[in-house]
Amino acid sequence: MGSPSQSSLRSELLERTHILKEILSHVEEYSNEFDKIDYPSLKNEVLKPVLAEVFDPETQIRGFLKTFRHTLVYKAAFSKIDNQQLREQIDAFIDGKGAKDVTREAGFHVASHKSPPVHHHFSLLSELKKLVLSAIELKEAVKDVLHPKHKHVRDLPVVFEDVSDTRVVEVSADTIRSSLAIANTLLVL
Amino acid sequence: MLIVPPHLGEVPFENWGQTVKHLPKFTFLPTTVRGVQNIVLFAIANNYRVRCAGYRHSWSPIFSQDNEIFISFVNLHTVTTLPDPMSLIPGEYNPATVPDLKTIELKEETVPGTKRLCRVGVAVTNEEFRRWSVAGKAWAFPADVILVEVSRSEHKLTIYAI
Repeated sequence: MGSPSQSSLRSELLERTHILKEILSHVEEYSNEFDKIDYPSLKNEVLKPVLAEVFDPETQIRGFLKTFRHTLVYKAAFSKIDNQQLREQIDAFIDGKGAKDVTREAGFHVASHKSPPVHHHFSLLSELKKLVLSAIELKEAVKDVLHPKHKHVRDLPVVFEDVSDTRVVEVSADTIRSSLAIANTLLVL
Repeated sequence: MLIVPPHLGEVPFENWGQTVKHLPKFTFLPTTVRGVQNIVLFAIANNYRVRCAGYRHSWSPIFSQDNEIFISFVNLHTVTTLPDPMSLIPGEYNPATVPDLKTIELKEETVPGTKRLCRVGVAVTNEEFRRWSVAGKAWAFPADVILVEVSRSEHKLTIYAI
């Protein structure tokens, strides 16, 4: 049979409401060690709305930012944002201004800033943009470019993914990428 | 003629934890069930094994193999950009425009108002399912992980692991 310590780990206690209530009850016990945390914001704007099932993303994000606003890690990261306008937008948002109001006039241009992690993470947007632009330009030109009649595609398997055998599954090989084969074929054409 | 350096053509496999590396013979990115079926038929005809992955979220070498066929249900740039910024990028899951393998279809209720069956495409990612769930404000999985970089196929394995 389980000991008292084992019974305290009963599976029915490992659910959201119980865990959140435990955090609410005990989180400030860490205040001596982590004295830069804004505990009221953490409790009132992050945890309690979840418990009350009144989750609002804007409130949650603002609550998280307020929670860590005075920590060294936050300040260090914030100082690396080399755009005064963006810093002011973030501060205004934290102070209670709505996200739409903050971005209404100047927009929100995270991808243009050079913080290495942010720059890398948002590189996906740049890739998507390139992809869309390329697709528009090449739409007419590549209608049948993947057909095996083109000699540069012959080395790659042609596997169709529609009933009418018109759409080819994108494929890369260990020595040739299909996208490069497309470029090759276009140059030949 | 465009000259392609051999190393640019290589599409190596690397798992999420960057602990497993392979070089598949072919890496396919299908968007339909029929595409997957035809890849399997191609593999059978050419004596290849087929491995599949979404976000490649496993420490084990389960997802890929050297010189065999690898099916990626997430595009190659996305799976190699970690952490994935998708949760920060605004957008909605639109069931009308998603490809075949990213569909989410509600089926019959097994316990009225409480439980029902759901057909989830193998390429649906956790973030996409979350967006679908939030938009519908009605249904969610009974267990989940707070992780963006995982697809539903891998997520099922995660639940089993838990």
